Amino acid sequence: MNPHSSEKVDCVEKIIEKYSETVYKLAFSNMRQKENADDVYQEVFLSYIKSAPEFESEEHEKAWFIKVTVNCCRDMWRKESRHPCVSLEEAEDVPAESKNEVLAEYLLRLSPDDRILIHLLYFEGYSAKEIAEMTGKSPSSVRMKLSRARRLLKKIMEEDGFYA
Amino acid sequence: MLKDLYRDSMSGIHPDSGLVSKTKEAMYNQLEAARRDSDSSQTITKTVFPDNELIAETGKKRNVFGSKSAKIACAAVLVAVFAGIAVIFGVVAENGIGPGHLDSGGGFSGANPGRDSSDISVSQVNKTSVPTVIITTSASVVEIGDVTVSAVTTKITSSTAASVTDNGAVSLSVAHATTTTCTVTSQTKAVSAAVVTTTAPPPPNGNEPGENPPRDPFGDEPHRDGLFYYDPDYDPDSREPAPDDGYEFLFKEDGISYFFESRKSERVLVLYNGVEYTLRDAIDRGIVSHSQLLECSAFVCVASADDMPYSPGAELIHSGAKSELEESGGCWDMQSDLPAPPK
Repeated sequence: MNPHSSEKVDCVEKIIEKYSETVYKLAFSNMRQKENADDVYQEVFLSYIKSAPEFESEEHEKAWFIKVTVNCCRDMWRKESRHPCVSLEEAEDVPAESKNEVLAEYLLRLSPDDRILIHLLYFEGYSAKEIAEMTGKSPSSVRMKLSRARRLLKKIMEEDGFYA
Repeated sequence: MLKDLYRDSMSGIHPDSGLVSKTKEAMYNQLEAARRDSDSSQTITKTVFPDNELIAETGKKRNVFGSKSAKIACAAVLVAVFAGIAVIFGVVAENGIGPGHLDSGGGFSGANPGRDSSDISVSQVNKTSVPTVIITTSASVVEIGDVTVSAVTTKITSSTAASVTDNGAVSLSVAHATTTTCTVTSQTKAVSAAVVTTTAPPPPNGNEPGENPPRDPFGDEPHRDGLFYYDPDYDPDSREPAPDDGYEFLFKEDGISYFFESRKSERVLVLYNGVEYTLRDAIDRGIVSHSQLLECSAFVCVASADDMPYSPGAELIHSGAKSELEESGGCWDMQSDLPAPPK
């Protein structure tokens, strides 16, 4: 039996159900490492409880979760830079097999920021303007970065014969 | 095609059930802790006004509170009034839990009998354009490292804005905001929560209050002195020199190095393979290209030799890179460092 009040359980269940996938996929797309994505995921939901934000609309609420996830990822990168570590999986250098794994390796060649932009564009379907608002960049800067990131992805994939 | 591939690759990514249940448990616990805090804490609201003398000098606001001593007297009156209101409405806690009462000595009873509203004083101490609020509590109550400061607004974070001094005072810096509200709480519940509202004068970079200062490529807000500090252990208000003589290494990934550069030094430094270059030198050596300057804000430079193949630098300079930089609050003030574009 859950020792917590039903009101709290409802609140937590509702918010997790709504944004669990969004937050985790975005965190994973940026960190590309399960352990770090897990940490970011927890951090985002705890931030929600801690700051108890009020939202004007569903879109506003979703944008908040995306923005906080992006910020938590950046914090994680900064921490990582001071205490770099390599996961066991990474250290073993397991060769990628499936197409998805190969794509994941290509994505690693993009900067963490670019991976966020690509994810928000391709997976969440946001426009450059919306992404700009969420990431604190100008729309033209987002368009430029997206264009460069896609060009780079295409180039390395072609060089590796991915399209062959 | 790429979009479909990407969506396909993400379809198998989910948080595992263990992570979800652990997160839920942590959220329940945090809600419970918040409930306990609200039950046990007392709140005193104080208002601190900006450095009126300075504002009077600049003619932007009339000095309505006169001398510093008059301000302190006003603050003391406010403290008494709000403390009284708090007691009347039963907000004051006894022993950290439940409704409180006024003891015979006029102070708050509870974990620290005899402590009264004079245990917490708020004053603005500096005379510069950057206000600092000092919240002082009795040293016997506050343990160093035990005080947490959280911002109600998003302008201040506990890691960068607050510090606890040896005598138990909390030094709180105030960000660019016309009004900034902060809450100071102690984890031991021994110290009352205090809400400090201050009206900050215009930031030193010339922006008007409420006007957004330039953002860095990470979307962060600069410190109120207009610079970016990324070392969480470094307190810009300590007046200590910033680590590494004004610039700071951010992180390095896949050959890309991100650097902090202080505007004061008027130089952009690029660290590449362990060697430090000036921006001009880095461009001449092919470490940084024109287009990579798009990644720069006034203070941060991104350098990567790996990026060179897809950086048609000169072309970008001619096709609107300048407007791009200007629009994003970028680093066009470094243009004097740029070599002439190829003819």
